This record gives sequence, C-alpha cells and structure tokens, in this order.
Amino acid sequence: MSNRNDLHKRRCATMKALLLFAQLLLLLFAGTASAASAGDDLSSLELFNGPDADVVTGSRSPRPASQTAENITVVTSKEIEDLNAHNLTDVLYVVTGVPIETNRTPGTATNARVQGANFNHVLVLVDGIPINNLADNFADISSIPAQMIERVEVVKGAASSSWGSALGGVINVITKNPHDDRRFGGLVSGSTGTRDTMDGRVEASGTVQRFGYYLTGGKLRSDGLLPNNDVSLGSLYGKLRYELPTDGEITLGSGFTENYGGQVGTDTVHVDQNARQLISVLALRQPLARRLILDVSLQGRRYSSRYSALDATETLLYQGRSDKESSRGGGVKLSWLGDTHLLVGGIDYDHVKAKLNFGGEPEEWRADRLGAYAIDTITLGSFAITPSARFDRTGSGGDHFSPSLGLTYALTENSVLRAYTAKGYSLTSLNRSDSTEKVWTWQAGFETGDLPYLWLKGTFFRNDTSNVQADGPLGEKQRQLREGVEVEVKTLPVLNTSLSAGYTYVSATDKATDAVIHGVPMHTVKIGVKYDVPEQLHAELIGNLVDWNDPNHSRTGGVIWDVHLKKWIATTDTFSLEVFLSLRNIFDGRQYMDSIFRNAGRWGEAGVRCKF
Amino acid sequence: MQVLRSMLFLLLLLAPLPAFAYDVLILQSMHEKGYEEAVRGFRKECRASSRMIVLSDYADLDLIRIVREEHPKVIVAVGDRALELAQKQGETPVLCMMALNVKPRRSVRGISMLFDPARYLSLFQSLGTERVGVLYDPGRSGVYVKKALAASKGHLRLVLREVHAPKETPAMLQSLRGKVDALWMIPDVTAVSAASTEAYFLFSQSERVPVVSFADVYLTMGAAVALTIDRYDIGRQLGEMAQDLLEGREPEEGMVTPRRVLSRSNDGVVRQLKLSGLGGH
Repeated sequence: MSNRNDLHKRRCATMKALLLFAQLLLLLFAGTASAASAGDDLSSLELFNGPDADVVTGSRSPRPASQTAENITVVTSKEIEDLNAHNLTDVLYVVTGVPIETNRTPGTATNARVQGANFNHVLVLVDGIPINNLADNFADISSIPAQMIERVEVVKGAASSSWGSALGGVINVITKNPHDDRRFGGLVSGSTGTRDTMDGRVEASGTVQRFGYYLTGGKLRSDGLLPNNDVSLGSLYGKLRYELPTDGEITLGSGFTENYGGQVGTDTVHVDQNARQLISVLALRQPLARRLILDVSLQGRRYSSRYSALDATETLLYQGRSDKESSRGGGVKLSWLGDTHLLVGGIDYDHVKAKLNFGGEPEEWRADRLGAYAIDTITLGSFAITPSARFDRTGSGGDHFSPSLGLTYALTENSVLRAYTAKGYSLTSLNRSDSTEKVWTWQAGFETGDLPYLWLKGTFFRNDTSNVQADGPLGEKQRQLREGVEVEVKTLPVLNTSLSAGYTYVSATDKATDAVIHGVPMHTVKIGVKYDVPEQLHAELIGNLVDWNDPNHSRTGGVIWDVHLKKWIATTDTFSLEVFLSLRNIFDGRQYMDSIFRNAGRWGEAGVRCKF
Repeated sequence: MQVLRSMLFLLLLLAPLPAFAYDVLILQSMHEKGYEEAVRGFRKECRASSRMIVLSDYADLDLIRIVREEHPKVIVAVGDRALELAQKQGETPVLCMMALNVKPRRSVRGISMLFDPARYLSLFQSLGTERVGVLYDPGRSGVYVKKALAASKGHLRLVLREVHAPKETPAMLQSLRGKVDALWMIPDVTAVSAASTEAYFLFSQSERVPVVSFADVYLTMGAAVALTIDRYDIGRQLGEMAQDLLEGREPEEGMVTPRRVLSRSNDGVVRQLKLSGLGGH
C-alpha cells in the first residue's frame, strides 16, 4: 500500500510539472496572440469582388441525411474535444442508444452496450484491431484515450457480415492522422479536479514531404471519486505514414496503455485491477488500377491483466486472477468502384492465444480464426441495395455464415428511408466452445434534414438473440427478444444555441416465458444544449438518463447533468490557447445498474489547452 | 395492412426520384455568384451525373461519411472551405477551383486563380515600364513571385517588398517612391486588403505610375488595367479535367493556370497617365 502511495505521489509530481510547463507555454505565447482568422472564402471573395461580395444565404439544415442502410452514429474529434473527454467512455456517454454500464472515476474499467445488447455482444475496434478480451469478450472502453481519436463510428445492430463477431454492434475508433498542412504542430494540455483527478497530454503531428507522423502521450490519474476507485492510466500512441510515389501509402501505428487502480471498495473487500495493452498495425493502401484499391494489413495485440480481491487493508489476498492474451494476424481487402456497384471483398486471419490463471490453476487456449467477406453496394436511381455476407471459421466457437441485406430509398436529396436485416454472432468466450451467441436483427427507419431547422432520425429495431447464457456457463440457454425504437433530433443553431436529443426504448423479454429481462436499459435519454461562438466560447449542457429496469439492483434517480465550458483566450492562424472547465453530475444524482458499481457524485475539473 | 402496403408502394412510385448514383460530388463553400458561374461552366463541359452540396447550407457536415456512403468518383471543391474539407478525406480524387487561400495538397489537381506571370510581364513590357513594384506576403505568394522573378529576368526589373501584415502595406509602398515605373497588385490578402487598397492608388496618383491589378473592382478605384479571371471558363477548364479523370485519362498534375484572360482598362487613368500599348491582352 505504501508503495502505491509513493507511486501516486511521484505521479502527482509529474502531473504538476506538466501543468506548470503548460502554464509557462501559455505565458510565452500569450503576448503574440491576436484575434485574426484568415484563409477563408470571404477574404478571397472580398479580394476579387471588393467589400460588397454577393453572398446569398441559402436554406439551412443541421446536417444532410445519411445514405447508409445501417443505423450509424458518428462522433468527430471536434465534438470529442468540446466534451473535455478523457477517454472513449466519455465520448460514448453522449451517443444515443449507447448506455455506459459503469460511470465512475475516469479511467476505471467500463463497458458499453448498444441498444440493449450485452457488453460482450459489442465489438470495439481501434484502427481495425479488436480490443475485446478473449476470456469474456469484454472491451475496456476507458483504456482508449480521447486525445488520439479522430472519430468514433457506432454501428447499431448486428454487423457480423462485415466484422465477424459483432452480434450487437460495432464501436469503431479511428485514430488521428498526421497533420497534412504543416511540418510541425502540437498540443499541450493539462487539467486538475476533484480528488486530484489530473489529466496531462502532449501531441505532435506533421508532414515533411512524403513522411507524416502523429505522436501523443498522456497520463490520467485520480485518488478516486469513489472508495478504492483510484486510477493511474498512462498511454502512448504513434503513427507514421509514408506516401508512396505510386499514389499508395504505408502506415505504421502502435499504442500502449497501462492502467492500474482500484475498481471496487466495500467495508470488507477491495478489488484492484492492473492491465496493459499494446496494439500495432502495419497497413498498405495501394490503388492497383482505375477504381481498384488494395488494402493489406498486419496487426497484433498483446494484453495482460491482473485482478486481485483483497481485504479492506489490502494486506490479505482473497483471490487473484491473471489473463495474458495475444493475437497476431492481418487482412487483405480489395475495393472496386464501378458505375453502379461498389464491391468490397477480403480475408481476415487471426491467431489468438490466451493464458488464464484463476486461483493458481493456469490454463491456455489457442485458436486460428479465418474470415472471408464480400459486400456489394448497388445504386439504382434513388435505391441503394447492399447485400453482403461473411464466413468465419472461428477455431473455438464453430463456423458461422453471416449474411445481411440493406436497402435505402432517397425520398428527396435530404430524406431517406432505410431497412436492414442481418444474421450475426458473438464469441462470448475463447475457453468455451458453446459460448457462441447468435442474432437475427431487423431494422427499419427514416432520416430527414428537410424539416425547417431540424434533423430527425427514427429507427425501429428487433433483435432475436439465441443461445444466450444469461446465468453464466452452466446456466440454461435462452432465446431473448430485444425490440424497440430510437429517435434522434438536432436543431440548427439559433443565437448560437442548438439542441439535440435522443431517446431509446428497449423491451427485452425471454422468448420462451415472455418474462421481462432485467438489467437491460428500458429507457435511455440523452439531451444536449450547445452554445457555440467559434474560437470564442463553447458551452455544452448534457443530460443522461438510463433506466436499467432492474428494481432489485439498479437506480434511475433522474437525469444526470454535466456542463462543459471552453473559452478561447488567444488565437492566431497557428496558435490557440483555451481554458476549459467541466462540472459533472451537477445535482449529485444517483444512477447505476448495480449499487456495487454506483456512479460518481458531483465533481469538477478545470484545465488549459495550448495548440500550436 | 394490405392498404398500408399498397399506399406505401404508391408513395414510392409517385415520389420524386433524385438520383443518388452519381459520379461527381460538387462541394461549394457557399452561395456566391462567382462560384455559381464557375459551376455553370463546369457543368457545361462535364456532363457526368453530379450532386451539389453547399457547405453553408449545413450546420454540420460529415464529408468522410458522405463519400463512404455515396462513393462519388471525383470531388470538385469550389472555394477555400470546400477545398480544405475535401482534402481531409483521403478516399476520392479531388479537383478544385476558386480557392485562393488554402494550399492544395500534392495529390489535388485544379485550376488556379492566378494567371501565368508571363501574362502580366508582357503587359508591363507593352506599357514600356522597366521597374515594377510588387508587394507580397512570402507565406502566401512567395512561390508565385519567385516564378515571376525568374520570368522577368532580361525583360524588366521587379522591385519586391515583403509584407507580413496588412498594416505594413502603406509603409512598404512609400519605400517604393521614385524606384518604380508601375505597381503590380497581386491577389494576396496580406498585401491587398480593404485597409490598404487606397494606398496603392494614392501612390499611383502622386508618383504618376499605373497600377495593374487582377480584378475589375480596382479599376473604379484607380487601377489603370486589370487582367481578370473568367469564372465560367475556369469552370469549363476544370470540367474538361474532370471528364478526363472519369474516362480514365490522367489530367495535368497540380494546379493549372486559367487559360482565358479578360483584360480591361480604366480609360480615364490611361489618358491621365498617358499610357500606350494597351491592346491585345
């Protein structure tokens, strides 16, 4: 325990030094800043047409309707920055239809659900590399630092015809690329808050001729917003890119995270977890002929974790479990764009290995996984039809054929009807051959940006899941039906203020008995109010309500409100200085699935961010 | 249920059918007459199916997603913001026009807003000028001025002055007193701004030297001659480029200068400065 305290003290000192460095940078740059903003169309129009350039204001819409058959939500890097997000958990917190299972100290192990699907039905990818562990298909979304994320794409519903084991959906994290327009640019950021919760980050990015680089590193630590919920999460991520003279490019990306701290603390038991993860990908993208592109990748992941259940003084170990995993593989993909077809086909291979040690009894599993897929998008006038199929030889959970069919119909240029059906599966464990759960998903919906000032999207979904082992490996296999609706609305900014709201209703029942399945969120509400004056002030109020529908364990307790503020102190073409502040759970509400993992109460943090 | 199905089917049949299978995504920064003129020229030359998105029509536009879902074969960026956004996606080839302030990447092709400097140099020669003053921001127009300098060697002398902020322009013009026979105004938002244009024409009057500009608007202010772009023809030129790309032919690399020059002069200023040789441009 004393070692851990020493370690915490050393890390606090490092964080404070980082904050001091950021403040020094601010002092150095503050004098040179001005409010100038050049390089836009208006300045060039004024140059050619004089000060009375004839710019006409058209009708406005929050966003164009998406033309995909699947229900996909995207979060961009700007939205991520506006949220003052620490990691992927904070990013997904605002996505409609994605309830976060445990929302405690930032960096604490967390998982996400998608439209009522279990956490082990959701595939989480970072640059195409699955980070779900092999033991129980758990993906710790808190281990992905927000700083390195360019965008997050959430596919809701079975996506096995493209991705393999992805019964409930996919959370696809795409990392930042090297800055193309500059040789060197960077960021230094630091924040501090309740219970010494500190987050320090640095970032450097640029392109020199054909060579681009993106590097980031950071440290998140906290004494813990809840008992025995301290966090120490270090991360490094780098990406190197070389543009080939043949119009192709080679990218090497690698990221390392190390996270250790307390997970749960009661009067008698403390549960701690240490985890390390290394992911690497080497990818080649090369146009082979006109409209024919080849993608080849080699990728690997190493993961180790250790759980310890100790007594409250952390001197007596009740139980320990360790997990060492690795996967090595790669993929080949060909994309061809014809006049009416976009044809994509490919093969993925993965060799996976897991070594589990539970209470001193080590066990080891290996499997070779091979998947082959083909996706065709046929566009005929206002219709787009997307048939696709994938065959997987999982090596541990049987062979699976996953077809899907998507259809969109463009009612107008900015309104679309969509329908999608797919068969999917998830391997919920490597060490049980009968652990494969399956689904047939049906979705139908519409999306429009044609309504004045509004963007509106609605989706009905029905997921018929079979082979579910809700009560563990020895429990009876269930067939579950999860169906519901999801509605999302966004408004245009009026007086710099825009609104967004999302509501998801899920009815989950056991198909054999019609009994309601508890612990599946029945109502999920996400509310957002944004006030945004570019490069001056951004304020965002976020409301989140999840009704876990488990009367004996969960608590709903009303909407949890967070507020995020960002103020630009100085900006030039190549420099900006911002201060930011977040106050989370303003009204100290209680909302959790299980009281053991109850949410953090009111807490706040403030920081500075300097970009150059 | 049967009725509902029939009604839905009828609705689908009766509904307008906007074509979403298209080849060209035209991405325009905003609604502006000059941009629209260029797009008209583009459409005249390139008859491929297209979809037009005007960025200022949307509060939030995810181009990466649009490209992935609608897979156009080429993106035509019209304006600076459109070019900046189009360059952020790496999937589809980008052609651009009417963009001055955003630097196009190596892979981007298009039509520049800057003429070949030789066009201006031959005009100065015909005016009989030997020393031509040029104010420029090296960060914006350094490459163009370097090209002009190389082309001017042996014919006339360019007297260069660097400006790094719009407010420096009047002082830099003063430093050219007695040292130049003409002023060449180049499209550089640092060297030419609302605050500094008057200084060019005051200099022109007091030193009795002509100002040669790049846009008609400066003629009414006191410029002697303007060599201006033809937006419609720039659109046509880019349309040919797009057609080549769609038909599998490789268009010219990088940014190409506009082929058509419109030459206009202010007769009053020409008479006042007793300029000769204005013809044939």
